[in-house]
Amino acid sequence: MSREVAVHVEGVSKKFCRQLRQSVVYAAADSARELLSLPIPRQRLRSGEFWAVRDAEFELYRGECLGLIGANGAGKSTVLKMLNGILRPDTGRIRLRGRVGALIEVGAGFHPMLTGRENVYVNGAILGMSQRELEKKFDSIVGFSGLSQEALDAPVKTYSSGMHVRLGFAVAAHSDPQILLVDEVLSVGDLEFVGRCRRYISQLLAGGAAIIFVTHRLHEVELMCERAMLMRDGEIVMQGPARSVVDTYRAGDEGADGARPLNATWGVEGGTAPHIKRLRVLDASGAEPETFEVGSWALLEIELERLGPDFEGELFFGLSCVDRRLVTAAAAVPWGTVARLAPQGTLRCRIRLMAIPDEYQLYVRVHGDREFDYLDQATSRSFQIVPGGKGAPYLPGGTRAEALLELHVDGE
Amino acid sequence: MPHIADPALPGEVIYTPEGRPGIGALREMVSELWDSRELTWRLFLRDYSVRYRQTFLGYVWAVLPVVLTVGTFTWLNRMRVLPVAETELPYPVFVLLGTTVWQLFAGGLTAATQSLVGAGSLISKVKFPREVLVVSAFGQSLVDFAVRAVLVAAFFAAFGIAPAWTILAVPLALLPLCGLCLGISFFTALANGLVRDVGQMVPVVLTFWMFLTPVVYPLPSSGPAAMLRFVNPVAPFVVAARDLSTRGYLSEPVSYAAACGIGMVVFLLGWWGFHTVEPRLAERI
Repeated sequence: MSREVAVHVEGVSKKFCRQLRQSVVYAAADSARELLSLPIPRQRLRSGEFWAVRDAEFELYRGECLGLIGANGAGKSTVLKMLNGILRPDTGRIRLRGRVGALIEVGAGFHPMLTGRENVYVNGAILGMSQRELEKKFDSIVGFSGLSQEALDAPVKTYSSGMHVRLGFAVAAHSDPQILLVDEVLSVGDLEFVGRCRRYISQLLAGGAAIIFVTHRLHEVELMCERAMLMRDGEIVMQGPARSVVDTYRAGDEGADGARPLNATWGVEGGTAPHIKRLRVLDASGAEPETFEVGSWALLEIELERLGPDFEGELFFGLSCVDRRLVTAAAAVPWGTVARLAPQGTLRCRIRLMAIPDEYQLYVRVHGDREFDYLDQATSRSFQIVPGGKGAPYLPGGTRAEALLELHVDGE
Repeated sequence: MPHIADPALPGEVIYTPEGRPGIGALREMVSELWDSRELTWRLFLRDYSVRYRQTFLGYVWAVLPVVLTVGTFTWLNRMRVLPVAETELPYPVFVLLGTTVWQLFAGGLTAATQSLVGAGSLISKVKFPREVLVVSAFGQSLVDFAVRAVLVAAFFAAFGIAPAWTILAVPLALLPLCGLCLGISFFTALANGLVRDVGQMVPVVLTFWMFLTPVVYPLPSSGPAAMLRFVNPVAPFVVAARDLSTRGYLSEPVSYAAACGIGMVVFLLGWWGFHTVEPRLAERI
């Protein structure tokens, strides 16, 4: 299957100046040169300037979701803004094929005095939608946002930040992007809404869109992206399969910004994070077998401790291939559901193992809603997935995943 | 500078450090402005509907300053504190016509200068042609102009003045003034983004400029002040609007034609400059 390039970035750099006055002087000088068609010194740094992005090179294909991770100030947002055309690169070239949509700051341009309804039209126009298009999609936008009619007719200044994001995302989601740039927006809505956004993104991907996804919530990258890039001090230091890039970043060779377990932090804030005591992968008879047939259902038994009812976050499930350390499939369950279904601390779920025959491990993690990294992790014994009577696994598209994880939480 | 002539495929967008030179830039400017007409209209409607939403007096605010100006100058004139040469029109009508035209320019310039700075996160977070902000901010001044036209009609009726039929041509005659205003605004809006001094300076300059414009006095036909009609590009528009409203002909066709030319040139220069420089400046606003 030939893969079509949607975004092509070659040798792209961008410099900034931290001193306000100096940057004004440079801007004025550059502008004067530009107006007079004189050459502008783009390749070298003047005093006070630094490279926010240096020699970025990458490609993005249709139907692909690329995760962009790195510490604060590594240049991730600058890359997105250049792709969006908000910033012009100082060197290099960016080629984009397809309508670009950006979820960089959803609801930018919402006027606080206008009602939600009026703002949908203004914001839609800013995002390049025509009046007719907006009228046709209006009900769908409102439906997606989940806002009530009364809320819709109230001025936006009365909205909570969550409502603001819901409406902004709903408008942006209806601009039919072929290339979507996402910057940290999913971390604001409640879990139900985040779930809806994730489904929307997978639908876009299935429809052949290309997505670049910037986030600090690393498990989201594992969940949604097959490939990831790691940035450090403006440079792309690693590109590859999402799991290995995330692992590299987590492993802490990122210096002070590397990930570390956050149990301690949570403890200080009162209460302790949920802890996974035991994780077992069972077959129908309740035994822990060493082999499963492709497509068969396994019973997952997770014993949890400290199920704080106030805890916000999710339980994350991943299936990984033992020697390749690649996440092959993943799923997540909001913590509220976990606490409701496993009041005694034991959560049972059924998981359908659809993967290319190999040796696998299941792992389960507790993710906080805001924390940078997971709070706790448990890994199952490894087991073999072997070809079985049910034939080869059905893998949609043939390219996106090597495996599928179908998760059913009992009682749900 | 070597511009890489690498044609974009259909539906492809290319971003490079260099802008598009020459005729390409002009074509791009026109097509961008045309493509964003709906957006301009939307933003205009937004500003329009928000403007007086939390006020009691609403559009009275468009008229009140003008009424006060007219009242003050009429009183000063009556009291012989500020005597001006005899005017053909009753003095209050004379001042009202002048102020209405002047405010179209001054109000538009003030609002449009603040348009980029006032757009907040829109500029740093969303991609769209920024010309739209300047144009839609200026549009508010057109609304005020329309509201004041009602006041002008009321004054004409009250003073029993029959307008010349050419009064209908006044909006058309003032188009080059709008061009002049937009051209200057393109420059000041960007400059204000860079250094906020510009936003502070514009009202100050406008105050002086008003007194150098025949708003509250007739343009003298001799003496050094007569030069104003050629030095101040706003002056001929004020004169022309009065002429078309009451006389039915242009008393100063030469200076008016010159001012129209200046207006168009300033507009094109400002627009081109804005388009060329904006991508580099927008990131600093």
